[in-house]
Amino acid sequence: MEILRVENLSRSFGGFKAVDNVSFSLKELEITALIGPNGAGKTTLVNLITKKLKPDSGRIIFQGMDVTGLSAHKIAKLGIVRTFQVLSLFPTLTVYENLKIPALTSRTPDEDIEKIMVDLGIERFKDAKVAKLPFGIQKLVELGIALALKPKLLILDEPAAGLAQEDRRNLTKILGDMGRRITLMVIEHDMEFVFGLAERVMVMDKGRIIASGRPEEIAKNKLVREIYLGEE
Amino acid sequence: MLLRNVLRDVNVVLIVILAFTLALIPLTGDRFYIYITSLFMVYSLFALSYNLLFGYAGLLSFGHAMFFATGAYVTALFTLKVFRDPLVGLIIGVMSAIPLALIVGFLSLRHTRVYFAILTLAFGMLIYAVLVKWRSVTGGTDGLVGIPKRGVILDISSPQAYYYFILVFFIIAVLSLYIFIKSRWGLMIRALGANEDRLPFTGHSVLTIRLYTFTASGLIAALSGSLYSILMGVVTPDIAYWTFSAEPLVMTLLGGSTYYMGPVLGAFIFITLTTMLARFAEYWLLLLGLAIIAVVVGFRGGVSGVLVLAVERLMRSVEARGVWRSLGLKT
Repeated sequence: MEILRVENLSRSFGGFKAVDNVSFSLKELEITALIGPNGAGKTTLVNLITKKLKPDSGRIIFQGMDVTGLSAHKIAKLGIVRTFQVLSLFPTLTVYENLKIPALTSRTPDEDIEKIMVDLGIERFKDAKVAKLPFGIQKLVELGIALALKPKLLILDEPAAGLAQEDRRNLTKILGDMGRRITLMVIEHDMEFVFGLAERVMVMDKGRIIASGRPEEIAKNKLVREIYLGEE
Repeated sequence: MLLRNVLRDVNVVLIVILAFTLALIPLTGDRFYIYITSLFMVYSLFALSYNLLFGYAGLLSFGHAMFFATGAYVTALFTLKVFRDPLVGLIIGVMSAIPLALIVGFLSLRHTRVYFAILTLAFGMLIYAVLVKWRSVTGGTDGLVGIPKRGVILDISSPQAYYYFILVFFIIAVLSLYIFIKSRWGLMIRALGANEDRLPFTGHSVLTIRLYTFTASGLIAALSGSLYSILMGVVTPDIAYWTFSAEPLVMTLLGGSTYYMGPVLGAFIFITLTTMLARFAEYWLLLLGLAIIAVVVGFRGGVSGVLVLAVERLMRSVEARGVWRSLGLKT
């Protein structure tokens, strides 16, 4: 069943088309990866879906409802939740408080916040100020904030960036488990990470989606190999 | 158990100690001490209200005096022209901040921080202009005199009576504001100050949180203004002038904006120094300027931060010497 449909979404900055007439749909409980070279427009596309940016044209349909005109906080309330490429936490607050903020929106009880912290392995940092924690833990707190909102669709912008190999493996496992309960869309550069996780891969280049399919199909796609992997 | 948990909170302990200390002041029988401590409580509330905006929500306002002046003038007008009673006048004065905060907030809080600061300055000066120009109602530059301490319901005409009147409202407001900051509403305000850009993506409207913060802050500022008018018995438009809005900012910076009781300490230092150095006005401003530079450049936590650091160092040094262990207090 379809959870999100994007129709002809576009956004330009001056004369530069960052997202150019993009259309796609996401199936419920499917893990989709969005890949592409730097500057392909992946983060801009996420910014348009989550209303960090307003689209110039196009429509966004979530669970059959047109959400194109809604503001960012209403989109998040509906269940389209995102994380950020550059960490965006509440640094002067504790880990628990960081998770409590979205939990107030979703009316997530404290027991569920505790469970999220246990699942992510951050419960021992519960009362620590986030600014003082290591980067890997902060990444998990970012994920915890998103989970505390009880997302229906979770968009993760480069969740593995900057993580050590062991933390990446841990994250792959966490996201794999999560994918059974939540529809995931993952933006990532790390191909090993993407192919180990995604059930479907979309490839973006110069603001357009140039290919879409199962990971093994994408890996063999000549155009993708030329553009993304730089093969002649 | 509950009492133990509450007393574990250092701010609650500080508030209790402060309340007991303040309750003893009238026993001195010295009218000057009673007056100056009353003024300290009024200014403390003004500074605390300002810190809710500045320290917690990260909103710099240059027009906070508009709430203080509105509370003061509405209380004065109500007690002089409608119903002669300080308690009823105070309640009406405090409530007057709600429509003002909603109107000014709605028009200014949509804008980015710099424009918000400028707009609050403009609204503040608008209130000042009304107070100066609308002579038939506000008394113009002469202000309003004879604000009664003896009313139909309440008589607080003796120094002790008005002192305890102010003390009761001071303690209620300080405790209520602290409970508010610790509540889920307070968490949203702290989140706003910590990372405003992230908040919408957690499902919260930044404008709504800014608006209720602005209103709560305005209510406490109006309370301090109302208490001020009852204490002084006279109000003049200079309490709406933009430089008066800078005073709670100075108190907050001096005391420490990152500590709940910082503005109270700042108000204490401010009142003490202005009183002691009243005869050396030029030197006072020089000293104040140097103090603000020192705080902004090197001691963001203000005097509270310096005190906390000193206590921490002392504790570490005592612990390192094994004094605790030798006393059997810590193993």
